[in-house]
Amino acid sequence: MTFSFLVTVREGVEMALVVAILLGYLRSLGQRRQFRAVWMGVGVAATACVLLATALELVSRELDDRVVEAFEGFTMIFAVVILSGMALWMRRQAAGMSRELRQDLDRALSRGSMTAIVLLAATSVGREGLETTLFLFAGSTNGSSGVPFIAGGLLGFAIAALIGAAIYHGSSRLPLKQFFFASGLVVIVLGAGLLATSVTKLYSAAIITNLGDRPWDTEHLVSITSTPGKFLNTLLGYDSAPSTLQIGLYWFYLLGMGALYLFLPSARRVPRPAEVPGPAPGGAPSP
Amino acid sequence: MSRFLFLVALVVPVLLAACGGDDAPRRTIGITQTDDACIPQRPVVTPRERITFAVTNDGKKDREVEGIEGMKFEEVLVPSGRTRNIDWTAPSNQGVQKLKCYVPGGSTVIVEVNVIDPKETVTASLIEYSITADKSFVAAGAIRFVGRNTSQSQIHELAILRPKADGSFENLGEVENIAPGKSGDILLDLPVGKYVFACLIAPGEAGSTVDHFKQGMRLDFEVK
Repeated sequence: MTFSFLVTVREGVEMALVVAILLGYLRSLGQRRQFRAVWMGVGVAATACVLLATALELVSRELDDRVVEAFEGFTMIFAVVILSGMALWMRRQAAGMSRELRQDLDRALSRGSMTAIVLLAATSVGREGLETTLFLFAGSTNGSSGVPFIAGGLLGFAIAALIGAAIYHGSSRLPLKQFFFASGLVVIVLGAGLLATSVTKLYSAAIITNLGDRPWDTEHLVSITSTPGKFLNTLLGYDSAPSTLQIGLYWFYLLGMGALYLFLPSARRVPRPAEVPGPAPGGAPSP
Repeated sequence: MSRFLFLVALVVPVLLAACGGDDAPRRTIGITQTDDACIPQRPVVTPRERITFAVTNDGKKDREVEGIEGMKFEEVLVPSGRTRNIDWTAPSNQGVQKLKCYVPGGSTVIVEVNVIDPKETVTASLIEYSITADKSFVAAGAIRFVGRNTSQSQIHELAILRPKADGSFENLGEVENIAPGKSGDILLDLPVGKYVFACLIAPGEAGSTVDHFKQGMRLDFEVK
């Protein structure tokens, strides 16, 4: 029971974290009414996973590993792209805000942005959920998945949902500026891990054939097969013997996004009359 | 409210993870991956036995191991030249658990982990230079063979051999390196037939200067 619990709580926390970030983002835009769309995306993805796993189990087939790994790899890259865009937008808004923060932003999202957000929620749940449900359901016909096993799995998802709720509610207490800043940091760290992990998935799918050398091995310090190691792997992309491609992508993203994050110019504010710039060089005098 | 939720959500998993305490000893089964194979292909375990698979990749390509068809073994990538230790607990029902051992996008080998609950146990006592057993025959099926070293000073081993038509033997499995005064066991699923218990230590091995088998450490045995 502990085993299934640890698997689902680990994957569940990653799903819940992404959903909490997305909902927080929508809330910061004053778009709480769009929460429904996100929940529908999550619901559809979760249901699809359960249905697919059940169907496969009933006909005693297994999904081609390479297909699952490729799906995971590409959805991870998609997630990194969308999350990065969100983080940079939030950063620009945060930087441009005056001290008298307007908490009641009502910024409508374009249809494209909303679609991207719902897709991100759905693919995040679908990606982690697919592998987890396939793993939990598999072999239930050969008697090795009893009631405690399923119960442990469900409990894990429940705890993960609680953690997600706690993160969401906690972040909603933060002043907008701090919320943007914190979310951005979380996204950068998550994103670096996701990007590094995505290439290992594509490698497992035989889409990438060479990851490069593996310059070190920290397996004796934190084993990738231990419980803490697996948590670090899922949430932060930890690998005890990472390849140069993983290392390169990780640091490129972390430092690149970090730099953008620190040095991105703030969003333009509407200038007050006193701020109208003076005469252009060599040009006409100001009115 | 959110703080309370957070505390609950943190405390419960820590408690559960701590309770699933991992202090009980585990038996290590080594799996060696080469470019074409994964050895051994049919390790044997008992129901609920706690195992550590020590997977060593001796090949040039990275390999992965993953439980399939319900085996609760999450996938692990074993880079070329490295070893990874993976803990696993056998299920409570007998049967075959399948471990897929493969090169991403390449060759696949299935390691069949046999979960066997032995109904019978045969104990063979080993001493220089003879073997005696507490039974001369046993029923076919899952059998636990125990090798008991009753010597004071010499290491022995217990091998279970099947005589072939040409006079040679097929080694079905052995318990090696049993120290004086100690025991070791091995599980085998044997069909009806005639078998031989043997100690195969040769001159130069385990501090011995003689061939144990030639000196008389052999005993006929039957599965009915």
